[in-house]
Amino acid sequence: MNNRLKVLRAERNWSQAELAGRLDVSRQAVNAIETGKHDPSLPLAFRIARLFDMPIEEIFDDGHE
Amino acid sequence: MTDTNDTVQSGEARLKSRRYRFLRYCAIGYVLAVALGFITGFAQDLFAQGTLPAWMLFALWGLALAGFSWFTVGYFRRVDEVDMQDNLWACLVAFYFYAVAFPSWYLFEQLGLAPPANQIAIYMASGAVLVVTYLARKAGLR
Repeated sequence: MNNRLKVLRAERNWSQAELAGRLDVSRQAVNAIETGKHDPSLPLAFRIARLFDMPIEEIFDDGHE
Repeated sequence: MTDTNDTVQSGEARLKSRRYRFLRYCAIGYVLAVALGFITGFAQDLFAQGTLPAWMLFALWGLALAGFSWFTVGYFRRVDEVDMQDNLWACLVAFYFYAVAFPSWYLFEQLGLAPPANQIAIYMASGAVLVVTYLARKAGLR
């Protein structure tokens, strides 16, 4: 699944560690999500959406219209 | 939860604190495991000398099992979902290894093509497979 996490993080000038701390996950988890090696669970996706104050579908793209 | 803490601590500070708490938890579990290892070893000697009743050994075994369960539940509550997946994949691969290794060795033993199956060797090899799989996933091979 594609996502805009890296772009959104860069826009706020946050490191992976900064984002990980705000999401209460490890830095490896942020890296795995950014590189598409891990699709976050629904609760984590909601946490990400709330943190960036955006709808989930504007952050994650499953390739369907 | 996140919003409230954002005003108090930066994300990096929260991550550092989270990592410290996790390592402290693992260190406590390790120290308790070593202590229990010494105690059970001492108890084993006493049992061999006939000065310790068998029920005490069973009680110690129960204590060790309870401690291991307590640590495991706490560990999985503390790791995030990616680490949880890494752990589960490692356990699954190690279990598959064991499930294939022992019957295969047993089959060849029955055919007279191999020495008797060595449970300890298979157990140790399964543990090695678990560690290698976990580290491989940690290295990014997901």
